[in-house]
Parts: sequence; structure tokens; C-alpha cells
Amino acid sequence: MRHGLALWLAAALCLSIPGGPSAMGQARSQVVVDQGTDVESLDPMFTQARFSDNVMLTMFETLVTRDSRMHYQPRLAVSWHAVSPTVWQFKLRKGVRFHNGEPFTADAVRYTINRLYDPALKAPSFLKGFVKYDHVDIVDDYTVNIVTKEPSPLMLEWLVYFYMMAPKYYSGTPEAQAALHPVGTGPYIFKEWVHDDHVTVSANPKYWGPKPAIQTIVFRPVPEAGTRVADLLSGAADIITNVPPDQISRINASAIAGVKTVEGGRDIFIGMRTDRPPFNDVRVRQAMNYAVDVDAILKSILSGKGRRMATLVNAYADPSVKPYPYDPGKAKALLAEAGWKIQNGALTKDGQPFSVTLDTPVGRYISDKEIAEAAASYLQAIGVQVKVNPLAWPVYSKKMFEDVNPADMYLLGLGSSFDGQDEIRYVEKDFGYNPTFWNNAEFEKQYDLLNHTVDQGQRTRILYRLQEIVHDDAPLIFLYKQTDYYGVSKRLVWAPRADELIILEHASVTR
Amino acid sequence: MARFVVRRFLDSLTALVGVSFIAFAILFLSGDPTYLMIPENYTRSQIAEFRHQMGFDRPWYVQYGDFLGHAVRGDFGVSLRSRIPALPLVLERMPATLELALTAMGLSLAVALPLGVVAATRRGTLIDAGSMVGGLVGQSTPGFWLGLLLILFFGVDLRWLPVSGRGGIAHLVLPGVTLATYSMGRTARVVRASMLDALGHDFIRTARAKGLSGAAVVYRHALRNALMPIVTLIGLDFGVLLGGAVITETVFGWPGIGRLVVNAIYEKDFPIVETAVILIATVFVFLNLCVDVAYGYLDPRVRYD
Repeated sequence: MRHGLALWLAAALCLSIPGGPSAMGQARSQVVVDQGTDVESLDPMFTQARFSDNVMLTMFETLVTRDSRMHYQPRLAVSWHAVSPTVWQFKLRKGVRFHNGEPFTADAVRYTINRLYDPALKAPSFLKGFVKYDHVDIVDDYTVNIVTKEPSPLMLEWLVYFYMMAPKYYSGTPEAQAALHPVGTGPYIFKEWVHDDHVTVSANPKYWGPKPAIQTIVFRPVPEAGTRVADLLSGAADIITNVPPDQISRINASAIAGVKTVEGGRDIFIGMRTDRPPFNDVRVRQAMNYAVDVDAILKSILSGKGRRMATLVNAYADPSVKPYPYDPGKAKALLAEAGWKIQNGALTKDGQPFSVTLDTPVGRYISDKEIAEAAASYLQAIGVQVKVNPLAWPVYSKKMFEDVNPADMYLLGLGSSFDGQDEIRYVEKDFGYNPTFWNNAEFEKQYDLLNHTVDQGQRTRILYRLQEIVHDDAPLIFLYKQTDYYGVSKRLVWAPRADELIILEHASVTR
Repeated sequence: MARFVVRRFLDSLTALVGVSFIAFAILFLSGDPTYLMIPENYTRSQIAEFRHQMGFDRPWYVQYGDFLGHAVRGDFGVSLRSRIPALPLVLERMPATLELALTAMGLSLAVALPLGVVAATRRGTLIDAGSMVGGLVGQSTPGFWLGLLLILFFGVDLRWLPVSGRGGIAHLVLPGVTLATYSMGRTARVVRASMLDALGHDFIRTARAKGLSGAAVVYRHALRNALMPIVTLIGLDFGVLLGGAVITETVFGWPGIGRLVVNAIYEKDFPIVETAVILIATVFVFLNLCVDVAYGYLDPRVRYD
């Protein structure tokens, strides 16, 4: 037994010369990305999360893409225009081939889009939430018309995440097999997926566009944030996601890595149940917004990182709609107007105390529970009794969206796609993740109009009106847009993006 | 003996069905998987349509029956999340799990057995007290804390060993040591107690009176008789290790079965949970059977009538 142990230790030491094999064998142009979670699937129609998109975007391409300023740019499509409100025409790039040699033509576009809507596939894709798709007409090999049942102002937004798939390969390969061996047109080719350990892709030598400088990318799921930080500081990882705020100074103090931040696309807010007292009164909802000092919360809990929001809208934000200022006096006055009086230090109305529960997920968003507790303490300061109820995400999501029976208030964060409509819809009455029960006739009328308007000038005017309604009728306590933190090796030339995507095809390593 | 094994095998089939039933019921107590699968931008009607498409709107026992009907024919379904067949997905974790479990078990026994024996034979000395306090400390150290500490020291500061992931033997050292520390302490204490008990028996006095050497008495007579509780403990520990060491696997990013199952539970990916639960239960049942059979060899007084 002792010999056995000695052998193990000797072997371990032999293999451990500086940094261990992962660091030792790391080629110059290999980049390792540590994310919290493994890719959901390698079939892009079964992926929804950004950490999966990061992997998909190396191997697959879309017709339209967003640049680092979040503006639409051509990718597999070279140009497009709306022929009518329900027909968009796309001219496709020529000379592009899938990794298996199939040419990319109009047929691939039609096949890919139809595949998503094939009922047998049962794909729970967020792409189904953008447009009411009807069919694709092939005009010629390199021209397609995408036809929708209703006007589709969100057409380009829809196509930004629509990964084009090789028609012959995917139609002739069983689903389970295709989910393991992806074939796209992208700058990287799939090499290996060891579940919960790593996905490796290597540069595509026949890529139609500029060849990437980084030869190999390894995506590793490392769930423990402390371990991701250790990976970065030991040189085993080049990018790590979701750096815990308390580790920022430690990483910045190191010689080999630093923290990069970017204002992300996730709106954090507190929803209020408007279907019952006390939040069925708009004055009470406004009072809640005046009572919470969001700037102070951001400063104390998130080191000032995060942008104060006037409503939910980031793109096409109405400059005349300002965030509710912190004004506890105004909050108390509004509550008094609504019939809530201070008696024995507590707010009461008709003998009933103002006592509410605030549900919050734990660990879903950065410092979510702490944010909920801080907001609650501001409400307590004006006499509202708030009980904060922290819940694990599966329990929270069941209560919130399946039972549609949240507590009086709930803290939630929703990711946006940088289009005003996609953000304002969080309070639309039929939206699946909206348990506020808020139903404002004027809002619904304007939202329906927006849904059918393609002209951007008109859309912006409608979006401004929607923001005014949401701000004034206040179904939510508007909080902030979350800042994303990345730990990045100093040898890597790369910048984070607002859409939470890690795109490495233009990145390079210095040593 | 053969009758005993057959009877135990039949018993274990009932246990397997029971375990899979309970796992399914508990998983569905907190709702169906719909909301953990659908995207954030679905309307309520799209959500209802998806739930119906997937069959999640059926009573849970109907869904369980459906799963079991396929499972007995060897079809464990596909992962709800990745759409990859569940059985290979679970089975491919076994090498990583086995590798870590054997390393931890090997390290633990290599330290605990001699330590326990020495502590028992030198009862009341400083060695005894020191090893038992050491064992207690090992048993009381949280794996999460120890793992991160080892990572910071050996991975970040000294850069001797890789921090996370699975690779060569070097990757096994830190998670192996972390995982072994707990069972090391516990096993050493059991070895010591069991040895003390065995050393007090009359046959030890007889052996000594015969003039056998100290080592022969301890290793050939006392240790063999002390092995029963130790083997039981090893069997149980090994079963637990094969079920996955979730915390150690999470801290070290180790692709073992524990992490797979915990993620699957979180996502209510029931084909994965069920397949893993059935597999782990099978391993447990098998190990228990091995332990029972081993009793017969270790102690001739045990009969399987």
C-alpha cells in the first residue's frame, strides 16, 4: 500500500512541473474560456443561454449580426430590405461552404428556418418569440424572401441568433447524433465535446472571411467562481465569466490578469402585483419608486456598477422620461393620499397594516438577495413592513411563472436583445414572464400598434409613448441595468460586449 | 450461497423500482420542467403549447409509467436539455467518477489503515492521541473549504498542480486529497476501535502465548478479525463516492456523475435523473451484496441460510 502511494505521488510530481499539463501544453494561440456552465447542446436549436451562444458563434453563422456597438451588420446575408411589411428579402453571400463541404445557398436558409418550426423537433427556442413566421420563398440560389403572417419589425433581431445549418447533413442525421456533431459555416470547426469538462474548436482553414488569429478555443465549464478565479490567476484560463465583485481587486492586483466590465443587457427590477391591494393603487406603486434610493444601493452593494433605469427600455429610450428621484417625503405624501396613515409607527389603512412579502431568487443575478434586502430596508424606512423571501431558482420560477402566484413583490432580472420593444414587452399582459397582472388599456393598444409598425420613425414615437405610460403607471420599481464582469488574461487582446457574448474570432494573444 | 445471492438480486429489483419512483415523484412535486426549459420571451399560449407538446401536462404518474415502460426495454430516453440519449450521457461519467473514487479510497486506506493500527497498538501514547486528533480534524474539515485552500496554495501560489478539470494524474491529486480527507479520518477511527476490540480477545492472548511475533499477532490475527466493520464502512463509503462527490466535483470542475445529477435535478431533466438514480442504486445494491459475501470469507461464523 505504501509503495502504491509513493508511486502516485511521484507520478503526480512528475506531471506537475509548473502549472500542470493544462497550462504546460497550452499553445500560444490556444485560448481557454472558463464559464459557469457547460453548453446546453451542440444543436443550436436547443440552446438558449449566452454561454451556449459563445460556443455556437464559433462554429455557426447568422444572416445578420451585431457589431460591438450593437448595430446590425451583414454576415451570411450581404444586404436586405423589406419588400412589404410581411416580406423581407435577403441577398446571400456567395462562395460560402459548410464545414462538411455543402454550399451555403437559399436552400439552407429555408431548411434552417423550417426546421425550427417542425413540431416533431419540439424546440423550446426563444426565436419563436420574435416573429409570426409563415414561409421562405426561394427567389434564386442566393436570394430569399422571408414571409411572415404579420408585419415583422423584429425581423433583424430574430435573425441575429438564427444559426444557419447544413441542410443535407442535418436532414440526413438523427437528432441525437446532430446534437453531438455540429456543422456550420463559422470560422471554427468542432473538435471535441467532453460533457461538463470542455468543448474544443479549432480554426477553419477554409473560412470565407478573415482567418482568426487564435487557432484553438477551449470552453470549460467551471461552476465554482473561486475556482474560475484560481484558473485565471494560475494562467490556466484566459477569460473567466461572472467574476464575483469581491474578487475584482484581487484579480486587478495580479500580474497576469485584470477585470473588464461592460454594461450588459439585463434589466433588474422589482415587480408588484397590481391585481390586489395595496399595489392596485397607482399612487402606492409610485410611492414605492420614490422610496427606494437606487443610486445608493448600487454604490453600496455593486460598487457603483450598474446603470439606473427610468423604465425598462435601453434602446430608443425616451430622453424626457427620467428615473424616479429618491424622495421619501413624496412617497409618504402619495401613501397618505392613498389612505395609508402612520399609526403607532406603522402604515395602516382601514385598520390593516401595510405588510407585504418580497420574493427574490438567490444567486441568479449578481447580489440579487442583497439588492432585495436593501430595497426592503428603504421601504421599511417609510413604514412599509416588508418580509424578504429568498428562494432557489426552480422554486422561485415555479411560483412566479407556472403557478403565476408571486408574493406582493418580486425581484426579477430579464435579459434584453437591445431593441426597445423586446424590453418594454416585459410588462405586456400576455408576456410569459410577467406576473404583475398589470393591464393598462392604453399600453396594450399602443403595444399592438408597435407590433404592426415597421417604419422606425413611427416605432420610436410609439416606444416613447409606451415608456411614458409604464413610467407613470409604474407596475415595477425600476432599478438598474446589470454590469457584467470578466476576468481577462493580460496576454489576450479582447473586449467584452454589451450582449454578453464572448466573440474571439477577432481577438489575438500577445505571448 | 447461490440462493442467498438470487434472493438478494430479486429484492434489489424491488428497491430499484422504488427508488426510481420516489425520485420521479419528488422531482415533480415542485412542478414540471416547462419553465426551466422555455425561453424568456414566450407568451402564455406558446408556453401551454410547449407543455402539451412535451407531454408535461399529463399526470406525473402517467409520465413515470411511460418512462418505466421504455426503461425496462433499455430505452432511458433523451436528455430534455441537450437531446442526447440519457444512458450514454450518464455512463460516460462513470470513468471520471470511478477514477476519483478509487484515488480517494486508495489514499484514504493507505493512510487510515496503518494509522488506525498504530493508534490501537500504541494506545494511550502521543501517537495514538495525535493520530486520532488528526483524524477528527480531517473528518471535520469541510471539503469545500479544503478544496479551495489546496487550489490557492498548490495551484495559484506554487503552480505545482492544475486547478480544475480532468486530465492526467496531476489533475487527480487535489480533488483526490480533498475527497480522501474526510473518509481518511473516519476510517482511521473505525480501524482503531475495531482493532482495540480484536486485540482484547482471548485468541490474541493465545497467539502471544504461542510465541508469535508482535507483527504476526497484529496483522494476521487481530487485523483480520477487525476487518468486518472496516469492510462495511469501505463498502458504504465507496458507494457514496460512486454516487458522485458533488461538492468536490463542483469545486474542481470535475466531470463526474454527481455534478451531472445535481444539474439535472436543478433543471428537472428527469430522464437523466432517473437513469443516474437507477444506475447509482444498482451500484449501491451490488456493493452491499459484495460486502455481505465478503463477510462469509472474513468470518467463517457468518452463514447464508
